Amino acid sequence: MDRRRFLVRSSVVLASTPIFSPFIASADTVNLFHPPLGDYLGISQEHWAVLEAVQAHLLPTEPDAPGAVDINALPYLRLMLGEPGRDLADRIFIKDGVHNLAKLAKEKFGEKFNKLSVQQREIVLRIFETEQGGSGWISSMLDYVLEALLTDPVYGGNPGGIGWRWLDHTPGFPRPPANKRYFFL
Amino acid sequence: MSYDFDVCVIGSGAGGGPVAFSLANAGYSVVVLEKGPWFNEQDFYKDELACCLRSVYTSNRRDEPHVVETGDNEDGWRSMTTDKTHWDFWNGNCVGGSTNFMSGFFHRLKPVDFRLLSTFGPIEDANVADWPISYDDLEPYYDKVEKEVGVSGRVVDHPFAEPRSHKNFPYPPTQEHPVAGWFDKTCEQMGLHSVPTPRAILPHPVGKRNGCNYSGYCGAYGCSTGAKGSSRAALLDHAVLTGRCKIKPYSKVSRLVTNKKGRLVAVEYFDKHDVKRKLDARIYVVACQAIETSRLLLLSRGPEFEHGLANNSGQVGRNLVFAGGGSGSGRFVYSRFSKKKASELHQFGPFLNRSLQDWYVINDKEFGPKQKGGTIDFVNMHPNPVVRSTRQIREGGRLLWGKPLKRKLERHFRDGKYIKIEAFCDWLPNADCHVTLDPKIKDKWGLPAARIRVGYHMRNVEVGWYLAAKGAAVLKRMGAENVISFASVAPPTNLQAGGCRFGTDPKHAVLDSDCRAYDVENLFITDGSFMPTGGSVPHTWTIYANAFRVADKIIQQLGGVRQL
Repeated sequence: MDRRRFLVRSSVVLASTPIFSPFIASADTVNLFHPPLGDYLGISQEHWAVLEAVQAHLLPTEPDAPGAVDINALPYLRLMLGEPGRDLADRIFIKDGVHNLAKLAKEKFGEKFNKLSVQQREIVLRIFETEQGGSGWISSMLDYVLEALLTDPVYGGNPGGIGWRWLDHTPGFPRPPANKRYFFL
Repeated sequence: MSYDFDVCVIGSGAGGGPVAFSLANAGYSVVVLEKGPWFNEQDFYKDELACCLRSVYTSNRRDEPHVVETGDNEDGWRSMTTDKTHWDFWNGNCVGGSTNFMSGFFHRLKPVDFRLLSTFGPIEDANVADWPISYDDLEPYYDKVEKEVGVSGRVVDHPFAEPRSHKNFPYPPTQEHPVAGWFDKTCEQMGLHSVPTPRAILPHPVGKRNGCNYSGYCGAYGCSTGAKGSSRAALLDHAVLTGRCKIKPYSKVSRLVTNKKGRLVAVEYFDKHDVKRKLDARIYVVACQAIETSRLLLLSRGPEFEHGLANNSGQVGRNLVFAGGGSGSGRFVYSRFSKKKASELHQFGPFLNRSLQDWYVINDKEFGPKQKGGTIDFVNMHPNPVVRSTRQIREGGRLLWGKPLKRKLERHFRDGKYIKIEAFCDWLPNADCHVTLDPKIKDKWGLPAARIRVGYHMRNVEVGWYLAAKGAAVLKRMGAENVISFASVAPPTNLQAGGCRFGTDPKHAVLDSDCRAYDVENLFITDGSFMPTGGSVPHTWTIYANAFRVADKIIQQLGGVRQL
C-alpha cells in the first residue's frame, strides 16, 4: 500500500469511529482507529483477541489509572504493524509470538488465553517469559503499549492525552498534525 | 576549462555548511550533495516517534547497515550488522545533517587540546598527536561561529577559560531553569567554578530565525523555530539566497572519480530515483561525518589510488575517535523540598545550562600523574516519555508488568525530577578504532558497508569514571537521591571524529594543515575527520570553526574573493 492510500484509509477510519472508553471523559477522546473485526496483517481474529487480552494484562485498567483499553492500545498496535514502512519481520515476530502464546495457554489450561482468569494469564505469561523468544516478545508488546500510552494522540493512542495526564507529563510543542505523522515525512 | 560548479560539497552538516556559506558569499558557485531529504521548520514537531523511535530523520539500517566490531572476552573481535542490533551510527539524514538534532552544548577546545602529546607525553597504546595548528589559529573562527551560527551564553572567568577575541557572546544566555541557581550556590560552597554552558541556540529572533520557544524538547529533535544553530537554518538557507548555492537533496554520492594524474575530475551519485548521475567541480569537499567520509574515500579507488582515494599513506579510516566520558544522574524528590523549591524543581522548559571544567586537566596525585581530564555538563533529563517508560520494564532480571509496573511509572514520572551528568574526555586514538570496508555486507546501492572497530583505551574509561564521580558529588550536595555515576566502554555514536587526521607528516596523516588531502590537490575534508584528538568537549563547535577556516583556504586556492 502506498502512503497516499494509507492516508486516505486512516482518515476514513478517523471519521467513522465512536467514543468508547469508560475511563475517559473529555470530548476529544475519540477512538481514532477502532479495530475492525476479522483477520488483519496475517493475524487471525482469534489471535487479535489474544493480543488484546495480553495488553490488558500488561496494563490493566484501574479506577485512577488508565489501562490498555483506555489508551487504545490494540488499535494503536494495528496501526503500527500495518503502516507501510514497517519491516515485515516486525509483523512476523508479533504473529509468531501470539501463536506460541496461544498454544501455551491451551497446553497449560486447555483454554484460549483470552478466556483465562487474571491469575491464569499471569502464570502463562511468566512461563512464556522463560521460553526462547518469549521475553523479547513480551518486551516488544510492552513497548507498543507504552507507546500507545505516551505518544502523541495523533497516532491513535493516548486519547486526549490521558497517558500524559496520568503521569503528570508535559508534552512538547508544536505537536504533530495528522499530515505530518512520521510515516508521511 | 569549464566546470559544472566551482565547488562541490558532499554532506551538508557542520562540515559542509560553512564551506557552502563562505564560498557562495565569496562569489563562487557551489553545489551541495545531500543524501537525505530537505526538511525545514514545518517538518519538525515534538513527536517522539518521528524523532527517536523510528528511522525518520536517519538512514534506515536495513537499507544502509554498518558492521560493528567489538571486543570479545578472548582478545578477539566479534562483528554484527547494525540492522540486527541497537547500534546506530546514523545521526541526521537530511539537509543540515545531524546539526538539526544536536543539543547544541557548545564548548571550545582549550589551547592544551592542540598539543596533548607535547604537554603530557606519549601514552602507551594510544596514537596521540599534536595538532598542526594552534588554538590561536582557530580562535577567530570560533568567534565567527558565535556570530554566524549563533552561540548564546555568558562568559565567566575560571581556571580553564580559553582566550577569547571578544569579551562576550554575541547573544545573551537562553532562559535558565531555577535549579541553575541551586547549582551555582552549591559549586561556590564546594570551591568549584560553575560555568554557564554556551548553547548554539538563539534566545531571540535574528533575521528569519525565531528565538527558542522553550518547549523542553531540544536534543534529538529538529527545531521548529529555527533557533537551533543547524547548518541548514544558520548557513545553508543563507547560502541559497546568494543565488550561487544549489542544494541537491536525495543525492547519494557513490564515488569520487580521479584521472591518471591523481586529480579529482568528477563525482558520481544516485538521485532520488536511484539513477546514477555525475557532475564536476574545480574543488571537492567531503563532509559526510567521520565514518562515512572514510568509507567514501575507501570506495573511491582510481588509477593512482589502488587502496582508496587519498590513501597512499594507508591512513584513511585509522585513528577514528569518539567522545570519551561518563554519565550519571540524580533524582530530586519533590516531597523532600519546601513548597517553593519543589515548585522551582517542577518548572519545565528552560535549560539548566551548567558545566564544570575544574578538572579539564586533572592534577590529583591519588588519581595518577597530571593528565588530561574533561568537561562535565549538567542537564535536565531528556523528557522523552516512551524512552523513559520503557526503561522501567525490567526489575530483578525479570520483566515488570501490570500494577507493579504502573506504580513504578507513577513514581518515576510524578515524584521527582532527574538531572543528568554528561562528562566528556578524550577518546584516545588507538590501533583498534578504525573504519574499513566490509567484504560482504552492502547497502541498498550495492556499495560495501563501513566496518567499524570500536576499540577503546582504558584511560578513557578511568577518566570518564573520575569525572562522572565528581559530577555525582555535586548532585548529592544539591540534595539529589539515587545518585549514580559510571563510564562505559561503548562509544557515543553521535560524536564521531578522526579517520582522516591532519598533520605535518604525509606518512602519518591524510590531510595537511589546511585539511587538503596530501595526495589530491583539489580535495578537502571538513567534517570531524581531520581531528587527531577530539578534545574533552562535544566536537560540533570545533568542526564548524575549522570548516570556516578551511573555507578561507579554499577561497585562497581559487584566487580570493570574487568582485561581483
